[in-house]
Amino acid sequence: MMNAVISTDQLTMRFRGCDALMGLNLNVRPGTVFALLGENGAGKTTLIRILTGFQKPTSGSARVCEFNPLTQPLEVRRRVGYVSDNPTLYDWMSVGQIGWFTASFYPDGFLQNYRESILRYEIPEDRKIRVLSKGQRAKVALSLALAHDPELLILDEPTSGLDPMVRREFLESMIGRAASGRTVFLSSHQISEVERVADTIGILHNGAMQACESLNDLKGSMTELTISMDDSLVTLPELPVPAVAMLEEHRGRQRQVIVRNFEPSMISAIEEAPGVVAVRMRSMTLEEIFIAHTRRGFGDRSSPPGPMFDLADGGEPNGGSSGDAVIASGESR
Amino acid sequence: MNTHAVWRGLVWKETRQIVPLVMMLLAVSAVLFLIWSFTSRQLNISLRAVGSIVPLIMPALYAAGAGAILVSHEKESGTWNWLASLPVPANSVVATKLAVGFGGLVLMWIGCVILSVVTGLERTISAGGGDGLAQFPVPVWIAHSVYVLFCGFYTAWRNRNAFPALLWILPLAILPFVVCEISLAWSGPGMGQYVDATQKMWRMGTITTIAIPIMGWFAVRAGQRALSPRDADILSDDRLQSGIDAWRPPPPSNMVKRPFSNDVAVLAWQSIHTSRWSSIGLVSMLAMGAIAWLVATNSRDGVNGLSGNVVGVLLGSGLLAISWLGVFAFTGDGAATRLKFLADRGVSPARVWLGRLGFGVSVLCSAALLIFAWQIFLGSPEDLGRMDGVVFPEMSLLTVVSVFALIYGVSQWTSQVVPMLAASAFLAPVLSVLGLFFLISAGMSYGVSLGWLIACVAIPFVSTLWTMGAFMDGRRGWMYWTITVVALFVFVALPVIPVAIDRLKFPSMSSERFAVLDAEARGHMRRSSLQSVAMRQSNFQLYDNDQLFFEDLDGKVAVDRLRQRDLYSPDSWVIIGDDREVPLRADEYVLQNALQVATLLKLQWEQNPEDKNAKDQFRRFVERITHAAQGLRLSTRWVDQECADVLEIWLTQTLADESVAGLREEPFMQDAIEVVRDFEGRQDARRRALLVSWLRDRELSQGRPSGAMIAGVSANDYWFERVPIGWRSSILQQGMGAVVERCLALIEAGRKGEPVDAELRGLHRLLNSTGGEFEVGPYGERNRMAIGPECVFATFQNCSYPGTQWFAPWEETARAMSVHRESTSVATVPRQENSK
Repeated sequence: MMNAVISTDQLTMRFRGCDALMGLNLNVRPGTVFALLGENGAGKTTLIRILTGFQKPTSGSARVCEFNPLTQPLEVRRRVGYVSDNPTLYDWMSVGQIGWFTASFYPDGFLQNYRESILRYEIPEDRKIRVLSKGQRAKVALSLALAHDPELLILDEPTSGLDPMVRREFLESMIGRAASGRTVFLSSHQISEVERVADTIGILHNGAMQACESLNDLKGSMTELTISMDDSLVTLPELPVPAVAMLEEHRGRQRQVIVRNFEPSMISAIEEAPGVVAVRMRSMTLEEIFIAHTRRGFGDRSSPPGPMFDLADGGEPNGGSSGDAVIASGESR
Repeated sequence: MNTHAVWRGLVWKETRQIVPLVMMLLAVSAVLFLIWSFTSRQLNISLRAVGSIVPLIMPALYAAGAGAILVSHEKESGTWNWLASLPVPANSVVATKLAVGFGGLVLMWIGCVILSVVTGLERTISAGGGDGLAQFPVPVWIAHSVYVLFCGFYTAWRNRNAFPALLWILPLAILPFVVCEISLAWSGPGMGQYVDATQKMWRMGTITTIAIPIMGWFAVRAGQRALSPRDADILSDDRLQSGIDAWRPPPPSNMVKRPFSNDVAVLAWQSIHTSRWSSIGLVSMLAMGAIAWLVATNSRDGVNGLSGNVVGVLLGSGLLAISWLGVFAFTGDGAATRLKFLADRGVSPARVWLGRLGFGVSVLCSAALLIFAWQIFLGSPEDLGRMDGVVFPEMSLLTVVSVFALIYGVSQWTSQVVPMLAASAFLAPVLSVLGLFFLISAGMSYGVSLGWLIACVAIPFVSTLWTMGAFMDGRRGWMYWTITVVALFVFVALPVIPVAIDRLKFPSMSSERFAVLDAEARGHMRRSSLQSVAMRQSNFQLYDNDQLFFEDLDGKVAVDRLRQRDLYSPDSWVIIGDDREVPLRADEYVLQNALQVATLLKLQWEQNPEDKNAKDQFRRFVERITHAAQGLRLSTRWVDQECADVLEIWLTQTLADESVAGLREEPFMQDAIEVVRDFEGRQDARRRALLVSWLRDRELSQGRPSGAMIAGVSANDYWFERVPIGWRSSILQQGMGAVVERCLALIEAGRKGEPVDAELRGLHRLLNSTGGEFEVGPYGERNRMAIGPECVFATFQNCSYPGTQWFAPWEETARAMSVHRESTSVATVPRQENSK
């Protein structure tokens, strides 16, 4: 088994007034494109700041490229390319000057790679950063992060500001990097894009990892059932093991239930239950899965459990107190 | 990774960031040096001392600003995070920033030394020309600037924003001075004794030298910590809240829908809450400055030593607080990038402008009212004795508000034009002081009226208000810069306009008249003796002839010699020589002292008329003053005639005093009467001196720069000494003929017994046209001496104006006195015959 590029152990980060991370365990294997999804304030940026050595956690530990980012931040930063969601560059420098300046801190070849990248993006080297558009600045920041061919690329909202063509090209290059054994760790709200490139998806909600699986497994494990009942007051039947109901919504006599680990063969068992008129099954998109995981009440321990919404019953590490995440692997992609 | 490349890249970046500050401060230094070199010869000694500290202050300003530029600006702009994400050791970043900052400081010192040498300022500094700040030698200042540099880096690394970092520099920067003063107070001389300057210098140098590595260590540690991972918050218990929580804003559920009825008030609230600690710090500095001002203007015993230094530092910090309140207006939440939030929501630029300036203006108004109320409560210093102990004279409320408004206005203008806080925070105080100096010069040197100056003060506010829309929208295009440049031009040109108009209106002498008077002047010159005797105070010598003044003198010998002086002898107060045919040159100080002692002796004789000794002492003074007046009338210097007038006024007052009626028949009194009754001789002497002085001045000024003449190197040193210096140069350069002509007309009118009011008003217009009413001017009735209880000594103040006492009531009294003597000649002729 290959060593994980990123590994965290019971990582906890508490700020005054909020818990950004709660005992997070995570392993990201090399050669994968790992997408971290989460709504605003879920703890994504805090996790990235800890992984890049900018923030000490309240408790727990992390290792990146086999180095401790707190005690060996330089070793980490030499191996990592990092682009923040709002990269602020020295705007008094020209595009060429900032490449020359940054090349001072990396091995030979950085400047050559950077200039090729800039040329590809058609940005003049003599142009000042301050006159560049938002998209052009993003391209410069990406070029700077990629020019030393890092083992791990950490991207916080990487495609923000990029036009659709460049965005597509960039995302495809991420797949190429993963194929060459490099690892990409990206945080994004653009779920459709993530769906196109990511091997593994982690969904962070309220500081805890709600799901962390390969894209295919995640999509395959979640099913939306529409069950028609003969009476709106009748409760839903128990689902066959190992299916677990994650969320239920009433629409008159119809119930929409999001179920984990559901198999098509289970439909007949449900149809035979008293009061059930019809059962329809539909595969969910990643966006629907994300919304399901982050919707209010989902995985929230403080909310009272409903009759079919007892997370503890599921026995799955889906946001409980431990917040453990499934080990991700790029093989399933 | 190539280590050499790392250093090269970092040094290049830091150098590029610091060079603008160095260039900017050197440019400002050059401007200040130029102004100083052009004006220093015309300034009094205290202002020269202020000029001499410029080369010491500018490197110190750089030292304080380097940390703000290299660290705080990076933090505020966000580039700090990007730099920290690069694989570069923290020590390299810290060391490079400190090294480049230090290099810039060396450049600043070299630049200031070169500028000092070019403008000749280094002689003033090396000669210790200055009080207060300039009392320390340059090496101590260099050491202190290095210390301040480290302080700047320390505070910049410890604070997230530039403003609190700059505020924290102040207490750290004065720490060595405080430690020095405390150590001197602890182990030095007692109260009322002088501190050994050399000892103080060494102590200050030692303390600063010790402080440098300490502060350097703090700076390096702070830099390393700033580049290390940020510590997690230490929370003991979620439910446990700190005491500060009680002061937080109410929870959202308790908030009212609209906290203020006026949106300007909301913007003012925002100004305060942007950085509450900065606001509190600035207000505290201003309050301290106001208190120091009140102490300085009301202290009976004067402030010196430690208290003087404290008052000076607090006054300086108060002025700095005013300037930084101005900078505060358009930085932080007032920066263009943040004001765009309001612009996007359609808030009127005028209302935003009001909101941004509201906080600063209200704080300054409070400070001005505090000073005003305090002055009303305490009153003004009552007597001259108390005035001696006052460091600064009190100023009117209007003047205080004008000074506040100018410093604040220029500073807020600077912060709008130079959006980088770290730069504007240092540029604004310098520019506002420069603006203040410019307007004070316009008022003091050219007599520009307060109304014009207040109009100038309003220009920075008008400019920022006008450009507010463009500033908020972030579109500082050609229109913005055009308005700014035009406003700057108007600010500079406005005080010059009234002066230029008056200069254009200044009359000149016609060529025909010039030819006639020039010939007459040359005739007088040929007939006059060029030799003259300067009066002096006494022949007293404390040291022996062969002894140098800095050699030790035996205390007993010194006391004996001082006791041997006869303080009631005119030889101790005014020495004029024995030759009555040689013209005498006046010394106002000597004459004033002699008149005061003579007045005292007159009172002593009045108290005991039978005391022969008192009478003899009084007689000797009257004789000396009479002879001095005669000698001065022989002089061809205009100012000597003015001083002779003062002596004759005193003699006339004395002779007319009924209390000395019993002495009028004495020969010394008869001689005095003889002098003051000579009306025609006095007019001849005045005319001759006027024309010869005019001629001599023209001849001396040929081939000289105008500044040399303005500085008073000519034979007519005292001409127009109290006329505003700029206006004086106008008179000497182009209007001298008109003044001479008007004075001659005054003499002719007076001789004929005609009214002289028109000529006096004409002279007032020529010499005081830019300011002051005739009635309260030097030619006004209240200043023209009549015989009465008026203080004759005050007339010396007007000696630099020609003809202020000509044909004043005292001359009529003197004339009448001569008639009285002729009527009593029956009684006096035998005495004269006997005397012959």
